[in-house]
Amino acid sequence: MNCREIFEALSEFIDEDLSTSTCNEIQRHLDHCQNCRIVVNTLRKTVTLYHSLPPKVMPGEVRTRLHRVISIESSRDHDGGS
Amino acid sequence: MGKTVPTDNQLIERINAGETGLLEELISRYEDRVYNLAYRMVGSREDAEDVLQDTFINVIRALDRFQGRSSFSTWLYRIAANTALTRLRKQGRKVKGEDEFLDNVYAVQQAARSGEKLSDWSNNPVRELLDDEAMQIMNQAIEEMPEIYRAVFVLRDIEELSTAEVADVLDLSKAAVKSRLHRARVYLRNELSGYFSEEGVAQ
Repeated sequence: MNCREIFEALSEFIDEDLSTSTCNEIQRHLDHCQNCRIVVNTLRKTVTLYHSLPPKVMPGEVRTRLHRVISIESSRDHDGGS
Repeated sequence: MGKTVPTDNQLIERINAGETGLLEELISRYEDRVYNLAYRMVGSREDAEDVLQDTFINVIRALDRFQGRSSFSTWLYRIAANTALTRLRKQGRKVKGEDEFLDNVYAVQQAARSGEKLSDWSNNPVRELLDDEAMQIMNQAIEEMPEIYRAVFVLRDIEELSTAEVADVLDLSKAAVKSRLHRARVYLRNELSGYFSEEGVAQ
């Protein structure tokens, strides 16, 4: 595999979604190709950073309005006998 | 036995048989996740609320047609993702065109190939808890991606669905999910590089 093929496979490499032989091949390439190693390190870091992003918390009033809408919609569905 | 928590499918069966009061219970199980997904997709609290409400209205109206062929959560995510995508397309929000997006993705490969030394910021002491500025940069980078890349990335790397589930939700092949996810990640890596490299320099 050359740098271009390695580049295309890096997400699957990070996700451990490749065969052992392909993983080993990529690992051998990374051992001697500094730029590919930097790309995989920073790509992995990017994924980790997004995983650590705290979830957007639903404000209380948004939840209240949602449940009002649900209640209206479900009673309408019930009455309408759809 | 009466204390056993009913499964989603059991709840749906009873709701469809007339116990509409159980809708609240079913929706409560998922409302936080749908809100987070909606927010990440549309980028503002107001739009996220609209997507949240529209999603559950659509769910209630279609619930008697739910077949149970995929799990309820996958079916719900499909409705939520489509509701968000429809809203984004209607708004015609400024996002990067596909060509510009791909140019950015492959710029790093070009740079690497031309022998330019890339910056390795992966070990820079990024604060464990991301500060507001970092989160704003990360969120803005997501919002600039073309919709379909954004949808794949949010479902896979933020909601942490499997590749197969994302493929099911967005009606794509698994290969298409993987290639879009990869491009999205590389794009975000490139967008984050400036900020997170600088932070290292300042140390």
